[in-house]
Amino acid sequence: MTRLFLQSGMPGEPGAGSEVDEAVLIARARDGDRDAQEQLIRRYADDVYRLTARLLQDRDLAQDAAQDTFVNAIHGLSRFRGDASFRTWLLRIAVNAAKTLGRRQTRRREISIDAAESEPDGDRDIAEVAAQRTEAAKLDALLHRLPPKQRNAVILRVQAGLSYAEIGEAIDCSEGSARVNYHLGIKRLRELAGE
Amino acid sequence: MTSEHVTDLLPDLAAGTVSSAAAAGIHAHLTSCDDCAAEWLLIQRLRATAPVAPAALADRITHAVMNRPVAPRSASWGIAQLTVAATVAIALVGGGIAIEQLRHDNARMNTSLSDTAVATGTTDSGTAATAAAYTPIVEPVLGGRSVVAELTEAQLKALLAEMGT
Repeated sequence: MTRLFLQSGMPGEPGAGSEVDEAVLIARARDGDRDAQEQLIRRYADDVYRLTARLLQDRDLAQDAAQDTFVNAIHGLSRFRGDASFRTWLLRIAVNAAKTLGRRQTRRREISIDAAESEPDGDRDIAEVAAQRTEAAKLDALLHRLPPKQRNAVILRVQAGLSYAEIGEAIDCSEGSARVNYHLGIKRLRELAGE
Repeated sequence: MTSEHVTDLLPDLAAGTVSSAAAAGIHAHLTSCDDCAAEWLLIQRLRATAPVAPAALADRITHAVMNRPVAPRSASWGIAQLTVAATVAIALVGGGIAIEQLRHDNARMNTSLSDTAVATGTTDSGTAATAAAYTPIVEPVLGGRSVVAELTEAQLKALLAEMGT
């Protein structure tokens, strides 16, 4: 397989791959090029999963939501007009996929999303991994005590690194509203965390 | 830098997307502002505990995307085009049949009215008026033509003479 480019950063982080490369990749994927489609999936799969996992707090549902996100995105590429970045567009689809699956969620797992799936890193102490999982579970529980708009704004801003304008595009609100929801959410989260 | 400015930029600092100059300014502020420092700590905790995708997730997604049955766009359009074409064809055929039926009915009614007038020998104005209402379609002088402009001068004179009677 021919790769169009080498990723220059972590998958999903701003700056991973140039815009020109990505535009070419998207155009090829839109035309049905499977290699290009796969490259888009591999570039953003982690990013989308991190978002859906935080939103849903259920690793199985999060994987389903990530899969639905890419199925809808790749087969709906003709609807991508380029008004927002591809990543923002993708995360918007992910938010909606998580909402859809979240409605079907009959139970919530108050555990760390990656706890049961990831094998402990050989270089890391098991106690350290366990501590991180506990910390993640605690933060996830606190995040889910926020109103949905504030929670989404905090997750999209802190974890996905979206700007306020991009958050507005992702969750259908104004840039100002995204900013207010983020600051209210982070303030409330600090109160809940006792900081 | 104000606290408001700094808290706006903390997520960008965590993502490494601020300039080195801005980062230096933010860090300088954090050393003197406990409130912003606490927020910075929380943001770092949130990022450090981000869920990790299973190793096989990308493969699973790729498989799902590649194997999703999708109807070819051309086939979808073909069905739509066939539907439109069939609708138009039905409208045209149906319309043609209806027009032909109307012409046939008018001709029959006209013939019936003429026969009645001949049989009774009347020149009843009501009957004549009713008959005249159908003459544009079946008029002996017109010879089956429905447009006056198609008539020859002789036919036109004959028509005027007949109308005069």
